[in-house]
Amino acid sequence: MELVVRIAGAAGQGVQTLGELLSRALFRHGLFVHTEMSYHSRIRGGENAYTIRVSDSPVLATKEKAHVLLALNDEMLARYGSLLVDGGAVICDASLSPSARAVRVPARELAARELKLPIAAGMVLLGALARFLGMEMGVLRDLVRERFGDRAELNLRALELGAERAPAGPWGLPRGDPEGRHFLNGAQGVGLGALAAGCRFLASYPMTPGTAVMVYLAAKSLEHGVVVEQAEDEIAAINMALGASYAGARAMVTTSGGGFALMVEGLSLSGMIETPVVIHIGQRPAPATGLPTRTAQEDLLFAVHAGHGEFPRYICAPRDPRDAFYLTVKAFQLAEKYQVPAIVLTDQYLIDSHFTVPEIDLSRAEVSDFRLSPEELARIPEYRRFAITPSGVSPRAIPGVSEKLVLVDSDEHDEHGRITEDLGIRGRMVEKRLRKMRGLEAEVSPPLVYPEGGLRGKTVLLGWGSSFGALKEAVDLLNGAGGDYALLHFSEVWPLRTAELARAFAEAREVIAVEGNATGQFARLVSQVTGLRASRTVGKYDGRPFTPEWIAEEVSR
Amino acid sequence: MPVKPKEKPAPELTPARHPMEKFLRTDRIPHIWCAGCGLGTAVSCLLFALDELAWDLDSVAVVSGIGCTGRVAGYLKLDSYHTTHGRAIPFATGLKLAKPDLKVVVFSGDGDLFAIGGNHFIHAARRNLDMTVICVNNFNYGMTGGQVGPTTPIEGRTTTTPFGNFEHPFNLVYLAASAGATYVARWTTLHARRLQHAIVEALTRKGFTFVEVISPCPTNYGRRNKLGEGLDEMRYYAEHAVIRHGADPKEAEIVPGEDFLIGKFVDTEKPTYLEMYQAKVAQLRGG
Repeated sequence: MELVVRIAGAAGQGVQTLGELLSRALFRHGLFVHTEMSYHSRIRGGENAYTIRVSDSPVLATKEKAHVLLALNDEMLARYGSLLVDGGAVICDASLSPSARAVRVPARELAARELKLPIAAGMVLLGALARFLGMEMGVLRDLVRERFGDRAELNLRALELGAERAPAGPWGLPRGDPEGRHFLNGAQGVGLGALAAGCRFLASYPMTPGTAVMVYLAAKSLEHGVVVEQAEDEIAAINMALGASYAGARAMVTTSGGGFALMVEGLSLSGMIETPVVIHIGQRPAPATGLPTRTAQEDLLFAVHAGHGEFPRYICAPRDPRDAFYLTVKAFQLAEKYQVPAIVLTDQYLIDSHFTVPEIDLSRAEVSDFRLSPEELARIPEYRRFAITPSGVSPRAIPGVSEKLVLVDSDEHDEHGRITEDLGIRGRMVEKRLRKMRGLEAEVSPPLVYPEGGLRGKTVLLGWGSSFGALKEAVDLLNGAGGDYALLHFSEVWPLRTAELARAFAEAREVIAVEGNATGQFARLVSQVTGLRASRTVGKYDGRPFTPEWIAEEVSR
Repeated sequence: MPVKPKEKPAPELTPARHPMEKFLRTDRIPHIWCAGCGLGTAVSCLLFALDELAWDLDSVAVVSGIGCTGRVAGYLKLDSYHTTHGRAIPFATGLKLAKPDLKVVVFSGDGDLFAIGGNHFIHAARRNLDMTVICVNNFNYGMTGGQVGPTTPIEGRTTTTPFGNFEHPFNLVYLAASAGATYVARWTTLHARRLQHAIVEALTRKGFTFVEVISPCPTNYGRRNKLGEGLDEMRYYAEHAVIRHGADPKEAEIVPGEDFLIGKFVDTEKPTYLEMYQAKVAQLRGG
């Protein structure tokens, strides 16, 4: 069973509220729900669509065509009416005249006349939609009460007015049990991961879509004791985070590509002073301001190469919100363990989309304290913050706990952290910092192969990050059509694991890179590190997320 | 004493054309701003001011940054530049230095000009560069969904200060005056004619001139802080904005619920960047 429902309207008409209510209600029905938000960079007007895909088995990608469209205005009816499946239906106000099969409800009139609340027209239509989908109204009513509190009554009445006027559609939605599952978006995944990892400090500057993580942590800051500071710009944000980290707090920044561009100087400082920081980058189409509310995978090579000079870093690119949780925890863990910057690379699609995922297992979230305790510091006769060690990792003490000083310097420094122009020490320091890369290499998990097993003779699709769900489903589509395809998918991209790549390139008939950019950035990274070249790149750079159908069509072209 | 609006016949709600349509890229209209927002008024005041000055429009360039106010440049039928976030002033600086005859207007928001662009603002004012900066101050980041900004009052609720802001805000009038601006005025979007007049003055003065426009943001800041609709905020301005020309900029702080000063605070003259530059060149060439 599968159903795609789309709610579309202008900003300010309540598309997001209606979409969140409906999708959460469907989740509570025990179904697997995936949502995708498409919106213009503006607060009022424009085009906003909330696409909800529902199934009785897990879904990890969005679809272009919908079975049911709830259109809040004429413009959206025209824009999305053509993206209905054959036989699809429209729910809309009685003043609109769709060409498709339609349930027309005098929602605007009811909202104005009966409720004296014109904005409630959307809620009337949601009631009609819920009845049309054959949902249990009780679940939706509960959610409306939770969301609107003392303003719930009018909205409940609106739901009722709509439901009374709609027929039940042909879909009998099965009921399941949501127990053991979460309904999370990427921002919550990253934010929860940060909290679980013990993040105590976040400084950032608003930039869509990275801001969502800041808003989430600001809301949780009181409960979890996190200092959330909105800096005057991203240069300040990363330097604040490094200051907090030097003082011993687990620190993070969240931004998008343009904000990360300003942070690059601070990134290099993190490399030099070996002070951990976690950087979340929600990618969006660029260059410059680009498309602020759209999605892309355009900043991979930027993240890998950003910063003057040479220093190790860790970069992960989560597949879904649950993965975002575990990988954010891992980013904190590795940043602290190796005293390096760690980058969590998501995108607007992942940040804004809700996924139904298996429950997070907190025991899998490894959080260890790598700081030198005051007792350990007391036992060391002569403390050297940048002591040269075989692993490259030096003992990291926190300043202010003893008379032993914790010195850091952005200039090249000796083992004590004192500025030096001794060129012998310079060489040893470069080597010490880069030795940490070896340790990091051993920490990175292998890529995922789907379907499991060998790749001999297959056409292998190579991907990374949030494209996972769409790629996996594309492989199923292609194989269902008689193809012999497999997926090799990375969610940890730096340091790059090469063993699996070597095997895949040796066994596969062909390797095709599928990425959310125009130049095949991951394929180029693979080629740079291993010398192995994908036969071609299928790139998506129109700001829209991947769909399985799009990938299958482009790959078999 | 509360000001009661005069009884007037109901205005035409959707006039066929904007009186300043000649300055607008009508193909870009409708604009993106919310009902009750003050940006339309602020832009109109700039256009009426340009109309009053009757300058050759090819001699005027408008530069804006990112945000709701940043969109202004895109609606004007003038040479206009929608730059990256915070960088309107450095971009305008380059423009002015390369083409000194151009009248350069920077039109942007409080977050763009005073958070990420704060450093650029103070240095442009220090240099006394010939440009007019118009800042529409709506006390938060509107475009990104209502985050705290450098002018958000204490206790102001935003998405990133859900428990109320506890940081001191900037007094933009004081900041501009201390950084060296030669003309500093503040009006609200209620005071449209006076604002227009201030923009005319700012555009015709030499050096770095600054006009702050206090403006409602009913969708984000207004809603989160229960300030009502745009009209309610206009009533608030009518009741609390006190016109006092020549007041000490220090006294121009804005505290919610209390009267605040508007008017012309600074109107002075000193050699501009270009004059200083030309003098230095002349000196080096032996006069």
